[in-house]
Amino acid sequence: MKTVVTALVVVLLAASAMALGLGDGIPMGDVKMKNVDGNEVSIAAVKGAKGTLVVFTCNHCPYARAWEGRLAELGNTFQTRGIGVILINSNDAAEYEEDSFENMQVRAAKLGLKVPYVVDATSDVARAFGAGKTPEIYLFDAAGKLVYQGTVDDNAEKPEAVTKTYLRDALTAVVAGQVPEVQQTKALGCSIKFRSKA
Amino acid sequence: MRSARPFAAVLVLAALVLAGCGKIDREPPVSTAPVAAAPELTPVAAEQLRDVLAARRGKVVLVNVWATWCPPCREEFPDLLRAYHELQPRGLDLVLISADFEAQREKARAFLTGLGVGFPTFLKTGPDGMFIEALDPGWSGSIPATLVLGRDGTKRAFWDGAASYEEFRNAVEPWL
Repeated sequence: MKTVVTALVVVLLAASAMALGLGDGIPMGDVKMKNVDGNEVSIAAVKGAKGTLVVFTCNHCPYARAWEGRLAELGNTFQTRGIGVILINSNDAAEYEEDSFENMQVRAAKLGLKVPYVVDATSDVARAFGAGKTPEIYLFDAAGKLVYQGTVDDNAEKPEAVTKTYLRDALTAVVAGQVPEVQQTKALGCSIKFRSKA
Repeated sequence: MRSARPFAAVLVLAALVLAGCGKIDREPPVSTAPVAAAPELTPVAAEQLRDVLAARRGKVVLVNVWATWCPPCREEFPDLLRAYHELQPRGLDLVLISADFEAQREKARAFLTGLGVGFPTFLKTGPDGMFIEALDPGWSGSIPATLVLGRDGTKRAFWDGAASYEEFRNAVEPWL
Protein backbone atom coordinates (compact mmCIF):
# COMPACT_ATOMS: atom_id res chain seq x y z
CA MET A 1 0.00 0.00 0.00
CA LYS A 2 2.93 2.29 0.75
CA THR A 3 3.97 1.92 -2.87
CA VAL A 4 0.49 2.90 -4.03
CA VAL A 5 0.45 5.94 -1.74
CA THR A 6 3.89 6.97 -2.94
CA ALA A 7 2.75 6.62 -6.54
CA LEU A 8 -0.33 8.68 -5.74
CA VAL A 9 1.78 11.49 -4.30
CA VAL A 10 4.14 11.43 -7.27
CA VAL A 11 1.32 11.53 -9.78
CA LEU A 12 -0.53 14.26 -7.91
CA LEU A 13 2.62 16.36 -7.90
CA ALA A 14 3.04 15.75 -11.60
CA ALA A 15 -0.59 16.59 -12.23
CA SER A 16 -0.32 19.77 -10.21
CA ALA A 17 1.34 21.32 -13.23
CA MET A 18 -1.84 20.68 -15.23
CA ALA A 19 -4.64 22.35 -13.34
CA LEU A 20 -5.36 26.03 -13.77
CA GLY A 21 -5.41 28.14 -10.61
CA LEU A 22 -6.63 31.61 -9.70
CA GLY A 23 -4.39 34.25 -11.22
CA ASP A 24 -3.27 32.04 -14.08
CA GLY A 25 -3.58 33.20 -17.66
CA ILE A 26 -5.51 31.63 -20.52
CA PRO A 27 -3.75 28.53 -21.87
CA MET A 28 -3.87 27.60 -25.56
CA GLY A 29 -5.67 30.84 -26.33
CA ASP A 30 -4.59 30.83 -29.96
CA VAL A 31 -5.80 27.35 -30.80
CA LYS A 32 -8.51 27.51 -33.41
CA MET A 33 -11.55 25.34 -32.89
CA LYS A 34 -14.47 24.66 -35.20
CA ASN A 35 -17.57 26.60 -34.24
CA VAL A 36 -21.10 25.41 -34.90
CA ASP A 37 -21.34 28.06 -37.66
CA GLY A 38 -18.47 26.35 -39.48
CA ASN A 39 -15.87 29.03 -38.76
CA GLU A 40 -12.66 28.50 -36.82
CA VAL A 41 -12.59 30.37 -33.51
CA SER A 42 -9.96 30.70 -30.79
CA ILE A 43 -10.34 31.86 -27.21
CA ALA A 44 -8.09 34.80 -28.03
CA ALA A 45 -10.41 35.78 -30.86
CA VAL A 46 -13.43 36.09 -28.56
CA LYS A 47 -11.56 37.74 -25.68
CA GLY A 48 -13.64 40.57 -24.27
CA ALA A 49 -12.56 44.06 -23.22
CA LYS A 50 -13.73 43.39 -19.67
CA GLY A 51 -13.19 39.67 -19.38
CA THR A 52 -13.47 36.24 -20.96
CA LEU A 53 -15.75 33.36 -20.03
CA VAL A 54 -14.66 29.86 -21.03
CA VAL A 55 -17.12 27.03 -20.41
CA PHE A 56 -16.34 23.36 -20.91
CA THR A 57 -19.66 21.74 -21.60
CA CYS A 58 -21.28 19.15 -23.85
CA ASN A 59 -24.57 17.87 -25.18
CA HIS A 60 -25.00 14.56 -23.41
CA CYS A 61 -24.31 15.24 -19.73
CA PRO A 62 -27.46 15.65 -17.61
CA TYR A 63 -25.75 18.28 -15.46
CA ALA A 64 -24.65 20.24 -18.53
CA ARG A 65 -28.16 19.96 -19.91
CA ALA A 66 -29.69 21.05 -16.64
CA TRP A 67 -27.63 24.23 -16.73
CA GLU A 68 -27.53 24.84 -20.49
CA GLY A 69 -30.43 27.27 -20.58
CA ARG A 70 -28.96 29.32 -17.76
CA LEU A 71 -25.53 29.26 -19.41
CA ALA A 72 -26.99 30.36 -22.73
CA GLU A 73 -28.79 33.26 -21.09
CA LEU A 74 -25.71 34.35 -19.16
CA GLY A 75 -23.44 34.01 -22.20
CA ASN A 76 -25.77 35.87 -24.52
CA THR A 77 -26.36 38.62 -21.95
CA PHE A 78 -22.82 39.22 -20.78
CA GLN A 79 -21.39 39.07 -24.28
CA THR A 80 -23.12 42.41 -24.80
CA ARG A 81 -21.46 43.79 -21.67
CA GLY A 82 -17.83 43.36 -22.64
CA ILE A 83 -17.33 39.70 -21.74
CA GLY A 84 -16.01 37.41 -24.45
CA VAL A 85 -17.74 34.04 -24.23
CA ILE A 86 -16.92 30.64 -25.67
CA LEU A 87 -18.43 27.21 -24.97
CA ILE A 88 -16.11 24.29 -25.63
CA ASN A 89 -17.01 20.63 -26.13
CA SER A 90 -13.93 18.47 -25.48
CA ASN A 91 -15.70 15.11 -25.43
CA ASP A 92 -14.77 12.40 -27.89
CA ALA A 93 -17.81 12.27 -30.13
CA ALA A 94 -16.81 8.76 -31.15
CA GLU A 95 -17.85 7.73 -27.66
CA TYR A 96 -20.98 9.88 -27.53
CA GLU A 97 -22.99 10.45 -30.66
CA GLU A 98 -24.90 13.16 -28.84
CA ASP A 99 -21.69 15.18 -28.77
CA SER A 100 -21.17 15.10 -32.53
CA PHE A 101 -20.65 18.37 -34.38
CA GLU A 102 -24.05 18.06 -36.03
CA ASN A 103 -25.76 17.56 -32.70
CA MET A 104 -23.86 20.53 -31.29
CA GLN A 105 -25.30 22.63 -34.12
CA VAL A 106 -28.78 21.41 -33.25
CA ARG A 107 -28.26 22.18 -29.57
CA ALA A 108 -26.86 25.64 -30.25
CA ALA A 109 -29.84 26.50 -32.44
CA LYS A 110 -32.31 25.16 -29.90
CA LEU A 111 -30.72 27.23 -27.15
CA GLY A 112 -30.50 30.35 -29.29
CA LEU A 113 -26.79 30.63 -28.61
CA LYS A 114 -25.25 33.90 -29.73
CA VAL A 115 -21.80 32.84 -28.57
CA PRO A 116 -19.45 30.28 -30.12
CA TYR A 117 -19.91 26.60 -29.25
CA VAL A 118 -16.77 24.92 -30.52
CA VAL A 119 -15.14 21.50 -30.84
CA ASP A 120 -11.91 20.86 -28.95
CA ALA A 121 -10.84 18.32 -31.55
CA THR A 122 -7.93 16.90 -29.58
CA SER A 123 -9.28 17.56 -26.07
CA ASP A 124 -5.96 19.32 -25.51
CA VAL A 125 -7.59 22.62 -24.57
CA ALA A 126 -9.42 20.89 -21.74
CA ARG A 127 -6.18 19.21 -20.71
CA ALA A 128 -4.39 22.57 -20.70
CA PHE A 129 -7.05 24.06 -18.44
CA GLY A 130 -7.08 21.01 -16.21
CA ALA A 131 -10.81 20.73 -16.82
CA GLY A 132 -12.07 17.33 -15.75
CA LYS A 133 -15.82 17.51 -16.08
CA THR A 134 -18.75 19.23 -17.69
CA PRO A 135 -19.87 21.81 -17.08
CA GLU A 136 -16.76 23.53 -15.78
CA ILE A 137 -16.37 27.28 -15.90
CA TYR A 138 -13.35 29.58 -16.10
CA LEU A 139 -13.78 33.36 -15.95
CA PHE A 140 -10.83 35.64 -16.70
CA ASP A 141 -10.65 39.37 -15.99
CA ALA A 142 -9.72 42.11 -18.43
CA ALA A 143 -6.04 41.36 -17.89
CA GLY A 144 -6.62 37.71 -18.77
CA LYS A 145 -6.14 36.39 -15.23
CA LEU A 146 -8.38 33.66 -13.85
CA VAL A 147 -10.71 35.18 -11.25
CA TYR A 148 -13.48 32.58 -11.03
CA GLN A 149 -13.55 28.83 -11.53
CA GLY A 150 -16.35 26.43 -10.82
CA THR A 151 -20.03 26.10 -11.45
CA VAL A 152 -23.09 28.11 -12.49
CA ASP A 153 -25.13 28.17 -9.30
CA ASP A 154 -26.05 26.00 -6.34
CA ASN A 155 -28.86 23.95 -7.86
CA ALA A 156 -28.58 22.25 -11.23
CA GLU A 157 -31.77 20.26 -10.80
CA LYS A 158 -34.17 22.99 -9.73
CA PRO A 159 -33.57 26.46 -11.17
CA GLU A 160 -36.37 27.82 -9.01
CA ALA A 161 -34.52 26.69 -5.89
CA VAL A 162 -31.25 28.46 -6.67
CA THR A 163 -30.02 30.59 -3.80
CA LYS A 164 -26.43 31.26 -4.95
CA THR A 165 -25.96 32.68 -8.45
CA TYR A 166 -22.19 32.20 -8.44
CA LEU A 167 -21.46 32.77 -12.11
CA ARG A 168 -23.84 35.69 -12.57
CA ASP A 169 -22.32 37.37 -9.52
CA ALA A 170 -18.78 36.74 -10.79
CA LEU A 171 -19.62 38.08 -14.25
CA THR A 172 -21.23 41.16 -12.75
CA ALA A 173 -18.13 41.80 -10.65
CA VAL A 174 -15.77 41.39 -13.59
CA VAL A 175 -17.83 43.73 -15.76
CA ALA A 176 -17.49 46.27 -12.94
CA GLY A 177 -13.75 45.72 -12.83
CA GLN A 178 -13.92 44.02 -9.47
CA VAL A 179 -12.72 40.68 -8.14
CA PRO A 180 -15.61 38.25 -7.57
CA GLU A 181 -16.46 37.74 -3.92
CA VAL A 182 -16.66 33.97 -4.43
CA GLN A 183 -13.88 32.75 -6.71
CA GLN A 184 -14.08 28.99 -6.55
CA THR A 185 -17.09 26.70 -6.34
CA LYS A 186 -17.78 23.04 -6.98
CA ALA A 187 -20.60 20.94 -8.33
CA LEU A 188 -21.13 17.44 -9.58
CA GLY A 189 -20.71 16.80 -13.27
CA CYS A 190 -19.79 14.32 -15.97
CA SER A 191 -16.18 13.45 -16.53
CA ILE A 192 -14.83 14.74 -19.84
CA LYS A 193 -14.37 11.88 -22.28
CA PHE A 194 -10.93 12.85 -23.51
CA ARG A 195 -9.81 11.88 -26.97
CA SER A 196 -6.89 9.48 -26.89
CA LYS A 197 -3.46 10.91 -27.54
CA ALA A 198 -2.02 9.65 -30.81
CA MET B 1 -0.80 29.16 -8.53
CA ARG B 2 -1.72 25.95 -10.21
CA SER B 3 -3.22 23.45 -7.87
CA ALA B 4 -3.53 19.70 -7.80
CA ARG B 5 -6.93 18.49 -8.95
CA PRO B 6 -8.72 15.37 -7.73
CA PHE B 7 -9.31 14.07 -11.19
CA ALA B 8 -5.58 13.57 -11.32
CA ALA B 9 -6.14 10.58 -9.09
CA VAL B 10 -7.49 8.88 -12.18
CA LEU B 11 -3.95 8.92 -13.44
CA VAL B 12 -2.70 6.92 -10.49
CA LEU B 13 -3.62 3.64 -12.00
CA ALA B 14 -3.40 3.11 -15.70
CA ALA B 15 -6.38 0.84 -15.64
CA LEU B 16 -8.46 3.59 -14.11
CA VAL B 17 -7.69 5.77 -17.06
CA LEU B 18 -8.46 2.99 -19.47
CA ALA B 19 -11.73 2.27 -17.76
CA GLY B 20 -12.68 5.95 -17.65
CA CYS B 21 -11.76 6.77 -21.22
CA GLY B 22 -12.37 3.55 -23.07
CA LYS B 23 -15.47 2.39 -24.84
CA ILE B 24 -17.86 2.62 -21.97
CA ASP B 25 -21.31 2.85 -23.44
CA ARG B 26 -22.34 -0.71 -22.84
CA GLU B 27 -24.65 -1.61 -20.02
CA PRO B 28 -23.40 -4.01 -17.34
CA PRO B 29 -24.76 -7.54 -17.46
CA VAL B 30 -28.18 -7.74 -15.91
CA SER B 31 -29.40 -11.00 -14.46
CA THR B 32 -32.55 -12.47 -15.98
CA ALA B 33 -33.35 -14.33 -12.77
CA PRO B 34 -36.22 -12.88 -10.73
CA VAL B 35 -34.87 -10.60 -8.03
CA ALA B 36 -36.42 -8.57 -5.25
CA ALA B 37 -36.69 -4.87 -5.93
CA ALA B 38 -33.91 -2.76 -4.47
CA PRO B 39 -35.01 -0.75 -1.43
CA GLU B 40 -36.11 2.84 -1.92
CA LEU B 41 -33.12 5.16 -2.13
CA THR B 42 -32.80 7.25 1.02
CA PRO B 43 -32.15 10.96 0.46
CA VAL B 44 -28.79 12.06 1.81
CA ALA B 45 -27.39 15.57 1.93
CA ALA B 46 -24.06 16.69 3.36
CA GLU B 47 -25.46 16.87 6.88
CA GLN B 48 -26.77 13.30 6.84
CA LEU B 49 -23.71 11.94 5.07
CA ARG B 50 -21.58 12.47 8.13
CA ASP B 51 -24.06 10.50 10.25
CA VAL B 52 -24.35 7.74 7.65
CA LEU B 53 -20.59 7.26 7.68
CA ALA B 54 -20.21 7.65 11.43
CA ALA B 55 -22.77 4.86 11.95
CA ARG B 56 -20.40 2.49 10.14
CA ARG B 57 -17.41 3.01 12.41
CA GLY B 58 -15.74 -0.29 13.15
CA LYS B 59 -16.01 -1.41 9.54
CA VAL B 60 -13.97 -0.54 6.51
CA VAL B 61 -16.31 1.52 4.34
CA LEU B 62 -16.31 1.85 0.58
CA VAL B 63 -18.36 4.87 -0.52
CA ASN B 64 -19.24 5.11 -4.20
CA VAL B 65 -21.02 8.03 -5.87
CA TRP B 66 -22.59 7.00 -9.16
CA ALA B 67 -25.45 7.80 -11.54
CA THR B 68 -27.47 5.95 -14.12
CA TRP B 69 -26.44 8.49 -16.77
CA CYS B 70 -22.74 7.96 -16.07
CA PRO B 71 -21.26 5.24 -18.34
CA PRO B 72 -18.05 4.74 -16.31
CA CYS B 73 -20.22 4.34 -13.21
CA ARG B 74 -22.33 1.67 -14.84
CA GLU B 75 -19.22 0.02 -16.20
CA GLU B 76 -17.51 -0.37 -12.84
CA PHE B 77 -20.61 -1.39 -10.89
CA PRO B 78 -20.34 -5.17 -11.34
CA ASP B 79 -16.70 -5.09 -10.25
CA LEU B 80 -17.56 -2.91 -7.28
CA LEU B 81 -20.31 -5.27 -6.16
CA ARG B 82 -18.12 -8.34 -6.67
CA ALA B 83 -15.38 -6.89 -4.50
CA TYR B 84 -17.93 -5.90 -1.87
CA HIS B 85 -19.62 -9.29 -1.70
CA GLU B 86 -16.29 -11.08 -1.42
CA LEU B 87 -14.91 -8.83 1.29
CA GLN B 88 -18.08 -8.15 3.25
CA PRO B 89 -17.45 -11.18 5.56
CA ARG B 90 -14.12 -9.61 6.52
CA GLY B 91 -15.76 -6.36 7.62
CA LEU B 92 -16.30 -4.31 4.47
CA ASP B 93 -19.39 -2.13 4.16
CA LEU B 94 -20.59 -0.44 0.98
CA VAL B 95 -22.38 2.90 0.78
CA LEU B 96 -23.84 3.56 -2.65
CA ILE B 97 -24.94 7.14 -3.32
CA SER B 98 -26.74 7.94 -6.56
CA ALA B 99 -26.20 11.40 -8.02
CA ASP B 100 -29.26 11.02 -10.22
CA PHE B 101 -31.80 13.78 -10.05
CA GLU B 102 -35.01 13.13 -8.12
CA ALA B 103 -36.85 12.54 -11.40
CA GLN B 104 -34.55 9.61 -12.11
CA ARG B 105 -35.03 7.97 -8.71
CA GLU B 106 -36.97 5.00 -10.08
CA LYS B 107 -34.51 4.55 -12.92
CA ALA B 108 -31.72 4.34 -10.35
CA ARG B 109 -33.69 1.86 -8.30
CA ALA B 110 -34.36 -0.28 -11.37
CA PHE B 111 -30.66 -0.29 -12.19
CA LEU B 112 -29.84 -1.45 -8.66
CA THR B 113 -32.56 -4.08 -8.81
CA GLY B 114 -31.13 -5.38 -12.06
CA LEU B 115 -27.79 -5.90 -10.36
CA GLY B 116 -29.32 -7.59 -7.35
CA VAL B 117 -28.62 -4.84 -4.86
CA GLY B 118 -30.84 -5.67 -1.92
CA PHE B 119 -29.35 -3.45 0.75
CA PRO B 120 -30.28 0.20 1.47
CA THR B 121 -28.67 2.82 -0.74
CA PHE B 122 -28.87 6.60 -1.01
CA LEU B 123 -29.82 9.46 -3.34
CA LYS B 124 -27.81 12.66 -3.09
CA THR B 125 -29.82 15.75 -2.26
CA GLY B 126 -28.98 19.30 -1.26
CA PRO B 127 -26.28 21.62 -2.55
CA ASP B 128 -23.50 19.93 -4.50
CA GLY B 129 -20.75 22.07 -3.00
CA MET B 130 -21.54 21.07 0.56
CA PHE B 131 -21.87 17.43 -0.41
CA ILE B 132 -18.50 17.47 -2.17
CA GLU B 133 -16.84 19.07 0.83
CA ALA B 134 -18.41 16.51 3.15
CA LEU B 135 -17.27 13.54 1.10
CA ASP B 136 -13.78 14.76 0.24
CA PRO B 137 -12.70 18.41 0.03
CA GLY B 138 -10.28 17.55 -2.75
CA TRP B 139 -12.96 16.10 -5.00
CA SER B 140 -13.74 18.01 -8.20
CA GLY B 141 -17.28 16.66 -8.36
CA SER B 142 -16.63 14.33 -11.30
CA ILE B 143 -18.21 10.89 -10.98
CA PRO B 144 -17.80 8.05 -10.37
CA ALA B 145 -16.06 8.90 -7.13
CA THR B 146 -14.94 6.41 -4.51
CA LEU B 147 -13.87 6.94 -0.93
CA VAL B 148 -12.33 4.31 1.36
CA LEU B 149 -12.59 4.79 5.12
CA GLY B 150 -10.72 2.72 7.68
CA ARG B 151 -12.37 1.14 10.69
CA ASP B 152 -11.69 4.32 12.67
CA GLY B 153 -13.47 6.43 10.06
CA THR B 154 -10.36 8.07 8.64
CA LYS B 155 -9.86 8.43 4.91
CA ARG B 156 -7.61 5.77 3.41
CA ALA B 157 -8.11 6.44 -0.29
CA PHE B 158 -10.12 8.57 -2.66
CA TRP B 159 -10.31 8.77 -6.41
CA ASP B 160 -12.63 9.84 -9.17
CA GLY B 161 -12.90 7.83 -12.34
CA ALA B 162 -13.77 4.20 -12.84
CA ALA B 163 -11.91 1.30 -11.20
CA SER B 164 -11.58 -2.42 -11.80
CA TYR B 165 -12.32 -5.31 -9.48
CA GLU B 166 -8.63 -5.64 -8.61
CA GLU B 167 -8.35 -1.94 -7.88
CA PHE B 168 -11.34 -1.96 -5.55
CA ARG B 169 -9.90 -4.96 -3.72
CA ASN B 170 -6.43 -3.47 -3.53
CA ALA B 171 -7.81 -0.22 -2.16
CA VAL B 172 -9.68 -1.82 0.75
CA GLU B 173 -7.84 -5.05 1.62
CA PRO B 174 -4.95 -3.44 3.52
CA TRP B 175 -7.45 -1.96 5.98
CA LEU B 176 -9.55 -5.05 6.64
